[in-house]
Amino acid sequence: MSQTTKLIVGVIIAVVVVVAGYSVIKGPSAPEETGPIQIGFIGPLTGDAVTYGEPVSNAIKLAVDEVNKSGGVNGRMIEVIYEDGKCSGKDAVNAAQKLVNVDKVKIIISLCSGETLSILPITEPADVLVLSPLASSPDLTGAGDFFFRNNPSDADGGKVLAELISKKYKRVAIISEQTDYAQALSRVFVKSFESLGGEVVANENFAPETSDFRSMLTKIKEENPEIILINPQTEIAGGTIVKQIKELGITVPLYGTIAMAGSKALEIAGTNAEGMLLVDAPGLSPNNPKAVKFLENYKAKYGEPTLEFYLGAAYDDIFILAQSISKVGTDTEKLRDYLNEMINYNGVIGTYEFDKNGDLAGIEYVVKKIQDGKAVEVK
Amino acid sequence: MQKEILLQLKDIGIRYGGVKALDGVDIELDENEIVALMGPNGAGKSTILKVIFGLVPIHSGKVLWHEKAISPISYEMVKRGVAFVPQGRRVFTNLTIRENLEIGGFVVKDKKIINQRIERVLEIFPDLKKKLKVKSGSLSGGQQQMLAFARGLMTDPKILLLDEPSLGLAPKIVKEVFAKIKEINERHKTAIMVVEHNIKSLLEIAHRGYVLDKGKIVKKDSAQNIVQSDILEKVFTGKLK
Amino acid sequence: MGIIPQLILNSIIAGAIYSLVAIGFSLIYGATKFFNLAHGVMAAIGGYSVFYFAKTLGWDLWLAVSIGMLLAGLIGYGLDKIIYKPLRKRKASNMVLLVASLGAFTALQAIIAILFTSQFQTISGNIGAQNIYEIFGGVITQTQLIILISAITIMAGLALLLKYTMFGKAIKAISDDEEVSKIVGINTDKIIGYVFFIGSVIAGLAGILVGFDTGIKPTMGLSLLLKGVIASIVGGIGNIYGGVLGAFLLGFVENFGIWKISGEWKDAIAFGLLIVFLIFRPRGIINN
Repeated sequence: MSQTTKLIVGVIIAVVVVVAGYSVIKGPSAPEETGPIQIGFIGPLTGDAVTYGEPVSNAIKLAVDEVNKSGGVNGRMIEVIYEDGKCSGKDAVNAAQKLVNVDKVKIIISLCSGETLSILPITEPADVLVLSPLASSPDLTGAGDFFFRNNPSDADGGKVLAELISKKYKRVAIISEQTDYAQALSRVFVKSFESLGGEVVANENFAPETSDFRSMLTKIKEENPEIILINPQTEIAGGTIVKQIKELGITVPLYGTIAMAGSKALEIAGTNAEGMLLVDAPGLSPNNPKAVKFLENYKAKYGEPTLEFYLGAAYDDIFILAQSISKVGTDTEKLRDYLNEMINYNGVIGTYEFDKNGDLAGIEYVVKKIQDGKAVEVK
Repeated sequence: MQKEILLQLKDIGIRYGGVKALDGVDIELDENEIVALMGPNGAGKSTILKVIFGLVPIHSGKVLWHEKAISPISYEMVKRGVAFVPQGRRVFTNLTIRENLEIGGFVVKDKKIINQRIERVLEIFPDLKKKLKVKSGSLSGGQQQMLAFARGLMTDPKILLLDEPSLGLAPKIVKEVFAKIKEINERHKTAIMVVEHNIKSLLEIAHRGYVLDKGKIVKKDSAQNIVQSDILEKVFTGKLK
Repeated sequence: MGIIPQLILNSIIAGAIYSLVAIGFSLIYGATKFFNLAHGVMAAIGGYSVFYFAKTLGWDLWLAVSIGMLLAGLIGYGLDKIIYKPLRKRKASNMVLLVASLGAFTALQAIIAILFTSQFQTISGNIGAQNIYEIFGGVITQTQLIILISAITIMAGLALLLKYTMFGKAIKAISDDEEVSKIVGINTDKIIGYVFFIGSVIAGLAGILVGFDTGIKPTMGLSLLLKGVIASIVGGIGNIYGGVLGAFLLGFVENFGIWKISGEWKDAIAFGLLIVFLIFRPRGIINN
């Protein structure tokens, strides 16, 4: 080799040795029982689903700040490592790999159903605790030993919608996005609705990122349904569908799933959404002092909250974790047992616990109506 | 009578990927004359025309227009009154004959003049008259060459550069082509520089000529003298030392 | 019977948008013989300019639209002057130009995302009540009518330009043979610059119209570009009329395709059309 080449190789070797030696001396990044408690977050921080991904992460930040300000958990601060799952299984898997194998976290909060379903095969074998304030796919019921969620399953939502709609109508059309969440909800709805004697006259599905629904809606119009159920993953798709339904001169009543209550969906749909009925997680009760305080603090820091239930559930997740860790430490097997046995947790979203499948027990979906551009609970 | 010098190439050197395509080339074109450029394949004849028209970067040497040094750029040469008819019947195949001629007069702003010139050019090449609206891609080889030639005349050029005008044409048409070249030179006083393989026909109408071999000029003389010398035989059989 | 008029209308509207993108793309390809991928982001530039000037700053809508189109044109022109022309001068291969255009596309799209966030935005102020017209048993909105009229106007205008002006004929000449065009006295670099400007202005308009119809997103250029490219190839690459034909064919195939097949296959159908043409008639509908 020439002199220069030798020099370059020598420098590279020296650098590698120094870096390797430093890491060895410094030890693993988070020493066991001291230093911050690291929690991973996987949710849509970019992409269309950011409309709920971002507010939820804000709610988590709010909770973490509060916990840390009052001294942390057993003197240790909580530190969240945020990863962008883009509400897609593929990206969530990458994020989980990083969190579990590189950052070595033992607790993850994950948002979308698609994200959660795809990371469980990685987290379960590693005994990583996963909490979700948002994932609602029925496929997640009992999907993991270490999986808990404080968001109702769509198995309920789909059924509630079917029951609600079948009281008045017999022929319906449904348009759904092709994601795990929306497809699962669609399956549950169709099954329930048909078992109640109803007929699904049109069942259209669209790929994510679609912006022109007109020909699908034209097909639906042709079948003359009595109502149309709009079942999107993202608020943007949902709002656009409502707009285009009206533009095509379709005047039948509209029903929606949870995403339709989001502020972006309603902004895009505009006045076209008036009167739409949907099934949603209940709003945060004004009689619940924790909820009131939470909403105030959120509004002060981040502005008007949207999809309050998810925000509240995420906020609760941090405090549930804080409570559990302070009682049994950070060993995830012990945490899992604690959560299984926990009863009557008083959170922002109400009083609840986790059932034997890790699902939320004690809070159910309610019916809401869009009035004056807002989702209002209907008795 | 002292002829006005129109164009000069002084000591021109051109490189194509490491090879000297032209080396120390001196060429002159005066008003009213027909100059022949001859030599075997790869001698550099076409390159000289391309140099004049700014289609090839010059490594060394100068190009002089009316004895002033210039940097040749194609559309500027056109405006100066130089027209170039490249090798190979290059017409705009998707344009009609009429459109080809119109584009030939691109630098002429006045539409009336363009139409006048089209009339004039069709007199020189009457075969094209019947097919004005036909796309030039469907013409015969001979007709395309005529069209390329005619297109070159649309700017009423003072200098015409022709690169192998008889290439691939039937002998009868070749005779016509050379007759037209002579006609244009005599009637319109156009100076013409012609690169040709068909040396016999060319030297019949040319006034002067240059013989090239391997990028260098090996003979510069009147057409008559070149015909009578043996330089061409030597160059084409590679016997030149 | 009832569904067919609506499907036809939907197809025509989609075809109109695609043809606006295809026209600019074909024009540029014809003159330069390379796939300018950055063409797609011109649409986003148009859409976002209107968003910024009309919605954020509150300026007059027509002014914002004009600025949007102008800005798209200038940036397209600028790309040619700063990146493509120097590369062409150095005899860069089409592969190199393609990669350069991809780089420009990515960079510009990223800048838009940084300035405006990646979020979907709407630019129409009037939410809810839009004028709706009934035509032959189908329904279209006011925005869609404007799309149709704009597309027809631009196509007609361009056709006239190409056929009757010297400038238009120079463009045809350059598309036919760039070297001979130079020989004939055309300043090809200058004309190509203008072609980039015109093509990009039209793409900008397409982005603005799509913005009014559905909304804008920094990545909107990509799907528009893909449809424009498919339309151009199917119709006969380099030929502007072919691009228009291909665009409408694409619009019809997409919308009628999902009539009998489920909606999620829409994009697959578009690409299926492309593949069919590439296999059986690669030169496109109008053979060049």
